[in-house]
Amino acid sequence: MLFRFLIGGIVVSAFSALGDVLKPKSFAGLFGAAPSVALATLALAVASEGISYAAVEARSMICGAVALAIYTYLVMFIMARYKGSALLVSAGLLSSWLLAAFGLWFVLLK
Amino acid sequence: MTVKFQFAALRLTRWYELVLRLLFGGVATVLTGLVAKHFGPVVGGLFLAFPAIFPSTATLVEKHVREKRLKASLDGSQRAANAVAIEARGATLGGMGLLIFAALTTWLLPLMPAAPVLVRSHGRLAWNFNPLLAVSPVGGGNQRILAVHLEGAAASTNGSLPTAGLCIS
Repeated sequence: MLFRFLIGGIVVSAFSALGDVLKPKSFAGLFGAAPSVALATLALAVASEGISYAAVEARSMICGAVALAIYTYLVMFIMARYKGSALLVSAGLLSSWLLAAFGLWFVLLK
Repeated sequence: MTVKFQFAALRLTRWYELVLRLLFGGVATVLTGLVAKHFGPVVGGLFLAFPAIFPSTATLVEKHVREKRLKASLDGSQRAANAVAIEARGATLGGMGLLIFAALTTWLLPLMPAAPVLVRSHGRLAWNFNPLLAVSPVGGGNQRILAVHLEGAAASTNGSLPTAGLCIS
């Protein structure tokens, strides 16, 4: 568990730092959707559970990625139009990610 | 558009912001593993694309832009919101990239040569270099005997290891 925590934390921090140093911001934003948790988790899944298990996880990630694109689009729309607080908007809209991800899972994978 | 590295931007990041990211990333990865363990890899896989970085990055971008404007005695809220919106636009494109990454991973992972699988044996961890072999401990006490079974790779992924087979010591 601690190993998983450290690997995940380090990979996410590394991608965040990369996003910080890159300019312009529209390009750096790409790293906001970098496969940080995915890389850490898939590597651990291949090591501990095997390739077939990791492949099933990766297939579900397709739905998660679509949900992520919907989530960030909504954040962009609300921030551009209503100029809200970044913390409130980005944290509040996490529910939209959950809704989209589980909606796609229900329709396509269940 | 010219892409540049601006390493000076790292100086704007405070130590607690780095700790926050480390915590957020670590917690997200642990939670993803726990979800996969309890609900299986299909549901767990959804969380591989959980927006772990974005909320913290957006908050930091807003804070940095606002601080910069305040130094110039200007109200930075409008510009900060625009900066976050631009960051989110980039992340939307990144989401498309993640979609392609996920599709390629799904397609290419099963084509990979056999990777060693970490298995637990007598409370110790050991590498199983053949995915067609499921390794499980037999015997009790301090015996260090492993039973090697010619089973499908699924046996090592669903946790139900078989109990009979060829023994090696």
